[in-house]
Amino acid sequence: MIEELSTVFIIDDDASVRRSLRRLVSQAGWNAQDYASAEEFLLSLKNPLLNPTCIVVDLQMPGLSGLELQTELAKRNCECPVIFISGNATIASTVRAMQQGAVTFLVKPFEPIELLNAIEQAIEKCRAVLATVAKLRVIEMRVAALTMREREVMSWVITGALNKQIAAALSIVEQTVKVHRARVMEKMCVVSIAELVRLCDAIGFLPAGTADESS
Amino acid sequence: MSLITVIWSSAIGASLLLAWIHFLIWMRNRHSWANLCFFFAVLSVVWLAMGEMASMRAETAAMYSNIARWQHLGNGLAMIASMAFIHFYFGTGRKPLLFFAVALRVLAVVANFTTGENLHIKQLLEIDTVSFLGEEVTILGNLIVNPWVKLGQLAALVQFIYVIDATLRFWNIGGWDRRRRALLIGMGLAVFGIYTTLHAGMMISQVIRLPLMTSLPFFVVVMGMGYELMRDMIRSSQLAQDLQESEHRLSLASDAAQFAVWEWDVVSDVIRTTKNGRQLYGVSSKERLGLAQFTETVHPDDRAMVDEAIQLAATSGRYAVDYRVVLPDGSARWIAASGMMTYNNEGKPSQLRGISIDVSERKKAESEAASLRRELAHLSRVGILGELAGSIAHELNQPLAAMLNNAQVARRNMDQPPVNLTETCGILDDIADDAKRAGAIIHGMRAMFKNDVTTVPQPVDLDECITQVISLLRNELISRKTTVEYQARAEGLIALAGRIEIQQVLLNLILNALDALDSSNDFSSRVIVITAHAENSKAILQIRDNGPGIPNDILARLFEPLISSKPHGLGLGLSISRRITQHFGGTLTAENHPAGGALFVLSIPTAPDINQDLPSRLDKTS
Repeated sequence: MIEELSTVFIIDDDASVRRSLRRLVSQAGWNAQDYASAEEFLLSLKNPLLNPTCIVVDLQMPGLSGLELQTELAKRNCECPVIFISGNATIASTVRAMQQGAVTFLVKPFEPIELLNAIEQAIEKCRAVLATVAKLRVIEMRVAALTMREREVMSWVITGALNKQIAAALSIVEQTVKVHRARVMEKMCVVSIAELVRLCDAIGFLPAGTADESS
Repeated sequence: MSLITVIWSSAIGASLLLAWIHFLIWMRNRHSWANLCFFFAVLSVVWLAMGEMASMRAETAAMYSNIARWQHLGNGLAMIASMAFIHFYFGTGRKPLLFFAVALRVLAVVANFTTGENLHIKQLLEIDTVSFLGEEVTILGNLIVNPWVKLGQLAALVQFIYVIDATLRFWNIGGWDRRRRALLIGMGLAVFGIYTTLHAGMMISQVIRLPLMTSLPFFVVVMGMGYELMRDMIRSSQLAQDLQESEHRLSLASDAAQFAVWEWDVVSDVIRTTKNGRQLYGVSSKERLGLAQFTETVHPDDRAMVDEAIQLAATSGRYAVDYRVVLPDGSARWIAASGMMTYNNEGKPSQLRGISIDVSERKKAESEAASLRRELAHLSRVGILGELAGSIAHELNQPLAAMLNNAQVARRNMDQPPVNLTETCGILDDIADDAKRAGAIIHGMRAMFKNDVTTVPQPVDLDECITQVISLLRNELISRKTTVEYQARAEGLIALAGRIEIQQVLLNLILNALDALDSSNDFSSRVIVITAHAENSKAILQIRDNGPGIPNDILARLFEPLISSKPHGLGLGLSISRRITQHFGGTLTAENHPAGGALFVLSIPTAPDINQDLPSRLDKTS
């Protein structure tokens, strides 16, 4: 929160509401950017996100509605959390918003503190997501550094197979498997098989055999 | 007894009786001049007959001459009376000719008394006797003729011409009845005129030896006149009886149909009406009725209106007005009156005749129906607002949310000095604006919720009206993905109607269009187009959507109550909308646009000469 300034995107077609939200957000110490429509916001959206952000959006607007914006963001793999505000929320729209992963849903007129809390919570969530994403990216980069054969060996290693069994499966000598295994452990920066299994699981690297079955 | 006495006396008696009867008739009806003329004509018969009887028994020439002189007076009376009778009875005689004939006859009578022994004889030398009807009667003997006799003959000639002329003209009008009268009276008098002249001429020239004898032929002619007068009397009494019967029937009919027949004589200011007419207005059967008494029965609020209707009847001839009558017990009764004005020869109103009907029941039903319609319109309005409740809540919540946020920011500002005054001022301005916005929304809603109705059309700014409706529907339109294009704006278009009512109709039409668009599957471009323009002192508003249009089986009955193309529609909205429009003298029609979608056309009368400033308009109306 100190090192980088978090941005709150405010999207509402009502100018007065927009202005009041911007004041509220700025006063709380966030960087506020407001848009009169979802289309306008999408045009200026930079993906992937660099800093933790969140979106405060009105459910009903001319053009793209809040829910449609949420769907569009999901399509673009944007992790930006969404807070809905609405003057006339129906149960159906609330349920749908929450199912699509909205942080919260506030009905106008709301207590300003509720919105500020929600923004706080959303930005923390975004920060966590961004951190996780960053970690995974490191693992993915390590995996990317592996050769094809090493990746093949790793997929067998995480099944818990012995070197002998791997050699048989890949029709190579046991000594070669040992060398590959040592390289994998080194490149993936792990010292135990358990650790390797956890990393592979985090990025969805599947053990040998399961991939064949699923494909 | 002598035969002469019998005949002449009978003629005298009969004539006296006739004279008495017709004098009485004339006394009762002073306008029946024909009867008066007849009275004088009959009197002259009596005069002549008495003179003739005396002349037949005259013993000396002087006596005879004296009697003959007075006979000319009777003859003059007979002639003038019969000419006057022709004048009044036929009505076809030429007045100058009449005056000329009368003047000659008067001159002849004057000459009769001033020249010679009478008009015909300058000097009667001797008298003679002759046997007549078994009696010796006196007749003329040797005599010297009076040259003034020519004047009498001229008078007779002019009279003859007058009678023949009047008779022919009367004959020419045609009709069996007229021709009989012309023959009987006109020809009778003409023949009598010839007879007397010839008779006198032959007597003085002693071609015939007869006593004076003009009364009997004249009696015959007079009997013809009397016969016709009698016929007229019989006929008029028959008419009177028929009239009485028809009045009786009318009275029965008016009693049964509960309407009153009345007649107002404008000149004498007398109102005549039937018994039930007096009952209808709650006036006693004795009281004299005039315009003032009638006006007194009318409800004070309606008197000006009735007065106006009477003024109008004086010029247009037609009288029709509905008003209230206050009965003696204080209750009111609605009367529908209608009638016709008749005019006298000078073109001035003379009589207003007509009927009055008690329409209290109808008025009561009408007022009940009107209040039901108002209630229904109000309920429908409330229903629309109910439908829009969510959208309206949204519209209200927008400013409220902004106000809360702004208040929070301002409050926190105060906690962190130095206070940014510029920002705080902006915040307070925004709060005030939003409060006003919320107030305006509530104000607009309250008007729609109210259950009062615009009875008298007022100027309504249509552009403002439409803009307000669109803003009320803003959220509804957004959530239903529909745009309203308000082209050809109604700027400066002022209709004469009720603002709330017109907005209700517009709301109804736009909501209908939204429902129609919802029923189509195309989400891409849902558009409602509103246009407005003026045409022949009407404001024409068109509301068109690009939905599926109105099903053909419903289109014809679309405005009937309980007809709806919507699965859950009550089918009241459009029928109420049309009734509202008609209340203000407008129309509401529906059709399918050739290019697709439904098209509703709303036409409302515009305010006349709206461009003029208000004071001058008031001057005009006052």
